[in-house]
Amino acid sequence: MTEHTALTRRGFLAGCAAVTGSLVVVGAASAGSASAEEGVSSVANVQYGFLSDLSRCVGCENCVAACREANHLSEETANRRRVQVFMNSRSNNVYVSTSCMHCDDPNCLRVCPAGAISKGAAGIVSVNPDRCIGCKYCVQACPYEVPTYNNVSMDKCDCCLGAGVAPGDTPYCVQACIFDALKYGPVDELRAEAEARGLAPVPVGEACGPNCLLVGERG
Amino acid sequence: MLQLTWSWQPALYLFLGGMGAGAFIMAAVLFLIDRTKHRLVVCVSMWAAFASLAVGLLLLLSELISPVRGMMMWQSFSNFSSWMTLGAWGAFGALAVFALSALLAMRPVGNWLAKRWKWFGATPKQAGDAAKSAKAAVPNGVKLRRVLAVVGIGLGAFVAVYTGMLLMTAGGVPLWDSPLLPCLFTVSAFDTGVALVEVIAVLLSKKDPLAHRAAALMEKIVIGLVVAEVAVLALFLGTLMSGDPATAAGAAGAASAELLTTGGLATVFWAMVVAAGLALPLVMAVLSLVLNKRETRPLMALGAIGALIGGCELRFLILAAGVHADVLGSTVMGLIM
Repeated sequence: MTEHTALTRRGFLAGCAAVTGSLVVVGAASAGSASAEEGVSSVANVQYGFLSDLSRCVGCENCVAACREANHLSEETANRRRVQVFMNSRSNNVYVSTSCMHCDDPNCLRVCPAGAISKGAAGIVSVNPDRCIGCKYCVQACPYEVPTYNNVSMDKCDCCLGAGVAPGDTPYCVQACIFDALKYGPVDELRAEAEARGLAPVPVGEACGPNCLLVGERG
Repeated sequence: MLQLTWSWQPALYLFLGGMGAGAFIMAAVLFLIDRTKHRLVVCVSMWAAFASLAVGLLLLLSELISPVRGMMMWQSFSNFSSWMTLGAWGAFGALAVFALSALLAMRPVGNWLAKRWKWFGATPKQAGDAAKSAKAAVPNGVKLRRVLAVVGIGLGAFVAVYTGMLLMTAGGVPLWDSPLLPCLFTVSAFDTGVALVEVIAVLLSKKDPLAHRAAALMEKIVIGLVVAEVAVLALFLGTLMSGDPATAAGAAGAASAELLTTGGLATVFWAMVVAAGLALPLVMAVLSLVLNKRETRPLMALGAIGALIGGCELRFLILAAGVHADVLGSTVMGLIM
């Protein structure tokens, strides 16, 4: 009985900790406050990113739809994730799904006059719509043309922070990919895994240290 | 394909801001050279500089998604790693100094202040003053105006440079990503500023005729600035065209430069920027100097209007041609081809 009580007490404490932890995470997600870093200390200094596999993507755009739905994007808000189509040397279509690169050294963050853009836990770059003035300087700064505008502020991928996904957890776009073409994780791990499969991942461009890797078979 | 994120309001702002800054500098120089001459031209030019910058800033504000939030400058312009923040505060400071200078340049205001404010009208006597002529004694009010003129020249120069730095430091557009762009915009800002003062001087020539020396000074400045602008523009476009086409940024920069010189924007570029904005003012300025002391007002006006058209069009074209590089496309093609 005593042991049972002790267990219950332990369970209660663990429960409290979990509730507190999730409160911190939810708080961080909604406000992007400093407490986010305490709640998610394990991913605070780890740079997460995406890996887009060109040989697996079929262009179904499930990722795009899942992103729109989970983040409740308004009608006038552009897609946060885009699937672009290219043609290879054998005249076959090649699809590439990309969103924000959550750069190591984001140009958008540097140029935003209002300081509305921040880089937080898991290296996620997010925008505070309550601070954005809508000057569109970040559009001119981003080499990847990621920021878009609705009638409120700049809008872009925040790895589903706003949709309640904790930093480091899998965003809805990746969850929705049934072809395993889109992955999310610590960018070093994504690179190592791809290399272990004999692939040579390349980042999308070089400017600002983008954290979106592309893999795909040549030719 | 053209750059459409920033449309006519930022383009017009870059022109008006630069022109206003340049006009203030020219007016302040005229004032510092001889405070007794060209009072009206200096005063009207300073008001015109203030109005240009003010209208430009209002245009920029109107382009924001949240203009009201934009007006809360302490919050909305608080990230000092951004040139937009530096420029906003610089332009705000310039606006205040331009307004104050313009106000004090008005004779009734000066007289009123001298009556109400003893210090303003007083002429301090210093040791050795007796030896100097009466002309050397300068009232405090004039000293204040001189300080404001010098501060205004500094702030004006900053605003002129900033219009180019804003584009250069964005970082995502290869056409703008060159230190030659702030040079080009600065020279053009001075050029259009002088042109505005010239137009004002011609319009006011019955009430406040421009002294021959001042007219010749301005024409010489125009010649110097046009030559500098041609050199910077040629170097700017030449560097872009010789960019490495194998890189996404190099290809985009070259494409932008071609769009301006041989592509869809070429007609406007050659006709308005080069012919009207550079060649015409140069020819008119040289003719004015050659015709020495004869009636050169129409020549000055024609050259100045050409310079204003060219300077304005330059901002529109540089913005329109500022397309992003296709970084994703180039990375993907490297993978699949």
